[in-house]
Amino acid sequence: MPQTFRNIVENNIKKIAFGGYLFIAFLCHPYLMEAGKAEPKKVVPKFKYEADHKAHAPVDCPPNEASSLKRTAFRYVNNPITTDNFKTYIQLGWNPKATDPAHKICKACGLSMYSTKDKAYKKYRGNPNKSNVKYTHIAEGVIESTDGIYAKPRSDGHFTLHEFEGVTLINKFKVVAELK
Amino acid sequence: METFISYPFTKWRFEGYQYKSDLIDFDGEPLLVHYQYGNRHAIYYWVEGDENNNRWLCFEVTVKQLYDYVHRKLTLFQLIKNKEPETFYTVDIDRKLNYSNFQFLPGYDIPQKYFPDVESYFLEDKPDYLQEIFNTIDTDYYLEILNDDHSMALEIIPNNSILPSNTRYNGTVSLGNGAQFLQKIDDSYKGYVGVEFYNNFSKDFQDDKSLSKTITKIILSSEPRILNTHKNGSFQITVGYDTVLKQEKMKGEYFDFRNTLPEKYKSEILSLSLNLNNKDVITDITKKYNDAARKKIFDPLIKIINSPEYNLSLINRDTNESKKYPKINYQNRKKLVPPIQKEPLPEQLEAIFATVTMEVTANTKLESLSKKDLKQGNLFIDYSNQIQREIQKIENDNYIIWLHKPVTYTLRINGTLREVIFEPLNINVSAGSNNNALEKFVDEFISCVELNYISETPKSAEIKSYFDTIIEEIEEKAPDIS
Repeated sequence: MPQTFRNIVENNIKKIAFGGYLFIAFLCHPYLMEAGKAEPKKVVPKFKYEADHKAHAPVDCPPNEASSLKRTAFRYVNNPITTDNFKTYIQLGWNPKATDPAHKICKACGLSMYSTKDKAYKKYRGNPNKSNVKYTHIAEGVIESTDGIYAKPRSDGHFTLHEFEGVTLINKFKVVAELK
Repeated sequence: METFISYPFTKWRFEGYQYKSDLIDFDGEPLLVHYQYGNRHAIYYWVEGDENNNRWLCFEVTVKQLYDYVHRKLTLFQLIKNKEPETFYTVDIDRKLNYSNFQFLPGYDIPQKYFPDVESYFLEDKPDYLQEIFNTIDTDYYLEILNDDHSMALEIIPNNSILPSNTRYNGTVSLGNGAQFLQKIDDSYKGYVGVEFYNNFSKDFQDDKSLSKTITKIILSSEPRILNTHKNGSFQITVGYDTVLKQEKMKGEYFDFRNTLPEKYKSEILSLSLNLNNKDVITDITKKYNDAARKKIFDPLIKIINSPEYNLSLINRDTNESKKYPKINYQNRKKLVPPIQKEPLPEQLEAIFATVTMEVTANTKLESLSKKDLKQGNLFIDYSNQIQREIQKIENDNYIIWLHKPVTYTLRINGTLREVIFEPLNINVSAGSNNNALEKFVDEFISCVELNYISETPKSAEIKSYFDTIIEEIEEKAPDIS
């Protein structure tokens, strides 16, 4: 018996409904994406010294305004550079200097960097007791956005880099000046 | 940790002091911290640490000591060294901020290891909040700061060898000579400030009026101050220059420049003037300063150097060494300060306008100005056959016309005639005197207003719209019925 159009529709109603659903979903896909309903989940990298942050640092460490951008940075090191030169004070087991709660220990959970070589050198010159400085040189390197986060450098050039898990910076830095 | 002679105590000496800021930090860690309790100030200086504690050397400082350190007049080393007769305190602080092991020690017993470097100048940016603290110092220690900064000492000693014996008031200087000496130093320094400012910044100004206003402001704020006067009978003064007080409304660049001038005046003018009979020195001076500038700077100085009644000396304030200024001979004096040639005026001009810029006090009345005032106070005179004047109210017997803002007209001397020119309305009237020319201008202006603004059928739409933009209000005067 030849099938009428009505029979075909009645016999395949589930298939047609499913096809229609797929068709509508296809049409709506861009709008759903835009509304954020279909946005992929953002992956927040873990910090290298997350345990230190939790154990020693205040709640807002690293600071909320910190972001990850590629930039050139300068750091005090020894020559040749040692792995200890890229460890935080906490990791080195040093006792961070502080006299008041205003001195948040957050900085000690990250690596001190300077925005320019001149600012790093000026800071060294301003140290009232240079014989206590454990470093001998300034090294220059480029921090990638995947290396960690830092807040905007202060007017004296200092900023603290909080490294992401798995990051190793030692090979990215080269000695550029001597502290003398 | 270092062991040293000290005395333990139980209560922390600086308890209650509030943390203000880290004056110095290094590699993200504080090294020098400022604490405050009311008007008392303390410094915590990190001296050593181990895995458990950091040791801080703590001491009280006065505002003046803090000021001197932050302004690099003292190193941290000197600050501590100068306080050796006083008591210092040490405290050990662990990472949980527990304070322990309080010790006090005389300054003389501070271990050598704890002393900062000899060249330990403060190189950081001065924290903003300190300025408020230092505001009190500007008044409390003003004299002391000026003495330290750029002061110079000058002395006049009576010249008994020249004066006839009956006028030798042995070993004394007359008050009049002292007054003249002070006045001339003041004139010379102010002249120097004006000349240097003009040479360095005149290009920044679009018109002479604002330049002259700024120069006057800089000169007034640069007035030399007497810091000390002594020496029996003779007259020795220490002169200082303000480099401390905030100068409201003065551009930072000008303020900084002004503060460099005392030291330059000392080396480039006062010290150099010890050799004003030297040909090379005269050549250098004439190359550097034009006739007018030399007149302002060197003329007053030469007058006191050449005074027959006393000798002038410059005193080195560190060594107390005195250097006498030799009298300057006539020929050299003429080379240094030639009489200023007046610019020849065009012959056809019978009269010109002279715009005089002079320094007066705010309540000086014009009619009280004397010839002497004009001579002493005048800074600039501009000669011209025309001047521009501003007017905001135009009035005749019938109307007072108030304008939104002043309009400018030109008053010009043309032979025996005086012309008033007002370009926006194409007015050009002339008369035999300034007053008559101005009256004509006012009449012309008001009749133009009547025809084009008050009238219901304006003659010119363009002039009407011009009046729309400038006229604020027209007051019609009541008719005189007397």
